[in-house]
Amino acid sequence: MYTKPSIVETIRAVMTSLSQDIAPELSSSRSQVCLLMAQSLLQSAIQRVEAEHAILIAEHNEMVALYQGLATELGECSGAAAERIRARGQSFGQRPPLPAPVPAGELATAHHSLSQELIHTLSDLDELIRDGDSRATAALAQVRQHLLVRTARDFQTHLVNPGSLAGRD
Amino acid sequence: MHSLRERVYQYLISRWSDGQLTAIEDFEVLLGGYSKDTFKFDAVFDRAGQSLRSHLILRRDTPPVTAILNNSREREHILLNRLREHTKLQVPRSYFAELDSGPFERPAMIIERILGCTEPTSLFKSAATSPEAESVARQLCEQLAALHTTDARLLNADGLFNDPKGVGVRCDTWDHYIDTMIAYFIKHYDQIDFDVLPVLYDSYLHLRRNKPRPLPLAVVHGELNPSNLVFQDGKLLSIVDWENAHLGDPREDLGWFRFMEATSGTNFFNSINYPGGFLGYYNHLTGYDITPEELNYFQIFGFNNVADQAIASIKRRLTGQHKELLHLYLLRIVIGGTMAFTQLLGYPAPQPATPPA
Repeated sequence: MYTKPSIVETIRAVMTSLSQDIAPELSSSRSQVCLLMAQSLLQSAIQRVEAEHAILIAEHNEMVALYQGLATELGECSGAAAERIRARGQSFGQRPPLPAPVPAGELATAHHSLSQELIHTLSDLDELIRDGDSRATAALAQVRQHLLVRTARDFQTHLVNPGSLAGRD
Repeated sequence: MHSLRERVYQYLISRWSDGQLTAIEDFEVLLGGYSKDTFKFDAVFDRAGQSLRSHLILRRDTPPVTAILNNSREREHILLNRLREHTKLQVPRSYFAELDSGPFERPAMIIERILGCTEPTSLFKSAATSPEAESVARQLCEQLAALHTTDARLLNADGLFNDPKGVGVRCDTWDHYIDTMIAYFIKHYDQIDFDVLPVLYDSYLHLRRNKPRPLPLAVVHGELNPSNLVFQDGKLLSIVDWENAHLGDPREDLGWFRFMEATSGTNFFNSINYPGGFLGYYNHLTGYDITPEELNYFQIFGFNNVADQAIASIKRRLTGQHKELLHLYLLRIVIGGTMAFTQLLGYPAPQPATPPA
């Protein structure tokens, strides 16, 4: 999967275009206010993209611990409400914690380093094929199987309205 | 500072030779051309007491750092006039090429504006326009065949269209041309890899391992796509945007056009009622007997030749050298292109897992 531009870089590019290409063309005060709101929401989206996954996991694990802690805190406290809280401690409070996510930048770097070696692998296979090694042809087919799957994923994930070009339809 | 419209007026007032220029009217940006800043306008002039108007286009380079296709207005100007002189191709007249950045801030040219439809998808929205689509496709095919069989010495006696990118391409033989082009693709990879692009890299190696038979080199349009056609009522009025023309293999134009049809939502290639369709008719006119396999090869070759500079401009965007939005939008061409390459290169589908016995 393409990792560049990142989601954040793409949103920032849209924000830049709103400022440099769209804002100077806006004549009504309503449209200018709408632009400010749009830019604020896009900035919010950037902040969420950067933080949301890690925060959700942290809060999930904190809540598991909380349900455990509440049950312990109430001890032998009687009544139906206390029973329900202890039951939550036995159900939600026993959930296994979710693993911490790999930070997006770290994941992209790891992915990129393996992807980069595909270029060198293609060169090596080309050299072997040109030397007449038929096993290299089979090996190239394996690489191409992998590339077909990831290219199809890119096509489905990145493209909106394939087959059209803005301003040319 | 003068507006661009005023600059055009000031530029033309001293150069207009057909009567007395009196005004520049209806000056507007033309949308849809990604590689150049394009403006339409009318030059109004007085000839023997009669007010007349000439429909024109100002076609201006973008700044080099954002350029999707970095090429010469002078070369395009010269080619348009050579095509009009030596062939029957329908192309606009070019009046001026201004390489000095003074008049228009960047190099520019002023050319004839052909009045007609430039929305090729309009021919493919219903069966009612099929005859018109076939007529335009047939004329396009005939004009391409005429271009590709024109003696290259008529259009390129001075070698102006040998290696216009200046990347070391040799045009003395077909083999040298193809070999040096592919060597350029491989070497240039580090200018386009905004991310790892293994399918594109694989395609370069495929081109090198699977060269087809040679054909005579010819001056080719170099970026022939459905958006570069002007037509009206079934008549092809003009083929425009010759900025990427070069001495090359005629199959490049067919390949790139075929490739862009998939992106553009048109179907000229299947619109000619002739055995083998567009390709069959082209072969009949040229005698080249191009096979579908060769066409596939040149779809890949043509894409790499046209898209190399565009993808390099995307990389410049992602490395912070400029801040244009367009270049991120153009990622769709890379993504769509690589998807098409997986089919053209015959990538095998993964085998389903074998169930346990």
